[in-house]
Amino acid sequence: MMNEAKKIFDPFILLFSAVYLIVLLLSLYTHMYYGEYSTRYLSQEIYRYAISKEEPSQWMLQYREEILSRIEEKNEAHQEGLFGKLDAEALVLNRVIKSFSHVEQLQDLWEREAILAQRAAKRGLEPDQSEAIKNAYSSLVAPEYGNYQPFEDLIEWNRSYGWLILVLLCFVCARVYPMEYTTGMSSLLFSVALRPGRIARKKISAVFIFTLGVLTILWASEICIAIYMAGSSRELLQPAQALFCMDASILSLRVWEVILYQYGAAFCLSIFFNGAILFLSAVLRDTMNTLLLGIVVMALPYGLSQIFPTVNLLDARRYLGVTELLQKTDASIYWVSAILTIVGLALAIASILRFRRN
Amino acid sequence: MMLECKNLSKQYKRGVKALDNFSGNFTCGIYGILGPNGAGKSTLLNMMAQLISPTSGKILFGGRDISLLGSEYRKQIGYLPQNPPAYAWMSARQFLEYMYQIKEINGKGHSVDEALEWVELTDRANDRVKNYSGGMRQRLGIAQAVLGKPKILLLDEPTAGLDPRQRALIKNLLRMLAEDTIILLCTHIVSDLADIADEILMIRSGKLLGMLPPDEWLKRLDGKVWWVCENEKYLNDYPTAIRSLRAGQSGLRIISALPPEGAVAAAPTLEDIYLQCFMERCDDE
Repeated sequence: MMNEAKKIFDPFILLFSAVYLIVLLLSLYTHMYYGEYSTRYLSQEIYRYAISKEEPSQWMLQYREEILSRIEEKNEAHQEGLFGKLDAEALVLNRVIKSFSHVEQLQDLWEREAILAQRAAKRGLEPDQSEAIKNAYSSLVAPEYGNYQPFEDLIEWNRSYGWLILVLLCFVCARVYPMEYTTGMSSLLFSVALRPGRIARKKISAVFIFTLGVLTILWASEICIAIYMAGSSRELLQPAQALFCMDASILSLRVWEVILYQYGAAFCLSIFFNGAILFLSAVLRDTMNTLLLGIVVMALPYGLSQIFPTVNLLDARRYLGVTELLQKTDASIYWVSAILTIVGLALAIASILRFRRN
Repeated sequence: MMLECKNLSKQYKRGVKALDNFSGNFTCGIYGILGPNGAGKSTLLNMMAQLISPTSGKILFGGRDISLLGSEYRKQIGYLPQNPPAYAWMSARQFLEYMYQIKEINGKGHSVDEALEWVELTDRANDRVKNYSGGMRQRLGIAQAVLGKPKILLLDEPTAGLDPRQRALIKNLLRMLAEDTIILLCTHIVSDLADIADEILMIRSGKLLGMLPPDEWLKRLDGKVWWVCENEKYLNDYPTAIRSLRAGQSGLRIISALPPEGAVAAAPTLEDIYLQCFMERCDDE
């Protein structure tokens, strides 16, 4: 398989892939803290300080009052506060207070939801489901205070831009078969290679291993960036409901598990996409045409989601984001993943069968 | 060991008949295939390499249809296409090692080093193919074809782009391999075949005109080749007339059953045969 891998991943492709990944990671980095990634140090300091207090929420509110009065009454916006410039502190404090308040309100939210579910059960409306929801809420554990913002940013970034990795995969897959035709090597492979199908299988394996490697590197780097921006990794172990995008979920998930779900979704979607592009490249035998069609394939789910806005699963970004699907708590995320994987593998196998003499 | 072509025909979708009822048996030795462009030479080789299927007829190897033999047949063949392909970013050694692997040679036959030595590429074995000249690429193509000592060698224009010394090198190599290999060789360089071919096939418009040893072909023109001093009249009268020098004097080489006035007899060559067989066709074209 190494030989086929060397053929596909020549130095240019490897360099292109590395640059592409760096650009994606830079994009993620600059999206942290609502795009104000320079507040990283300040955020870390304020969170650390607040959590060390006996009443973090109360201290936060008091300190914000103090800052606001200094800014508004004494016009000291650019003066130094406890951690940095006052105006920057005010900005970060607002976010910290919002996050802490969200964590505090979770218990109330769950209790309200459980009561609603219980009432629904009494009224006879889907009693089994209502009972299950009530039990699920009562078994949830409240998260601790923490700097969840970078992890939320990571999950949101994956939801919005995670699909961009498909462009790199499209670029790689589009040349897997055409390279044999453009170099004229197909005539040798089909005449003297003992098992041309085996060559195609090795190509496919190399592409899928590359995909796994790229996604793993991307996701590991993303988590590292998020931990670096948050200043700690303890938030990863906290319940996922600490994230705004997961507050209505009744699943007992940790933050790291949500990120893992995103990784799994990205891998399943990549298998499907790889299979589709490989099949197209085996049929068209031309890299440029395959790339163009690949872009159409990428844009298709978005176009369909615009035509059918109520059908969530048609949009690849919603699928990659996973939070909407996890909040629904139905099995759709599993069967969509299974379908994508099976269809992708089937298309890849079909491409192997098409790699033969005329 | 015999390769048999039985009534092979190939008709393309546009109705062009590339090969028409071709039959021939091949045992160990060198078979030169001659014919003008579009005569069906490459089509014949491509069929033997299983790159295209015949419209009708079949090819048998060892008495068995090659379309049913699959990999058993493929491991017996070495193939050099008309424009020798290679991965430009690989070195010659890497390319041959790759071919060695996909042919699944597993230690039998000739090694990569031996093949490189045969085509005199050992010194440049680690250079990238993209830096090779046309002749070097050609020799690399021949090296990959002979890897693993195949029983059938299909060579399309193997000496194209080679200088006389390299052509001699390749001819020696082919002659050496021909002892236990069926070698089918398409070329336009007629003189190459005169030295090494056991038999020569002349193909025109997909039809086999004949398959004879070079001497037999030459015998056909015994007493029919003439040399006369240059004369514009002869140039028009004899379509095969070719300007040639003889003892420093400019003249015309003419193929004719009867000697033109003032002509002296000349020894026939394979080029004369080629001209006689295909000049009419060229006129048609």
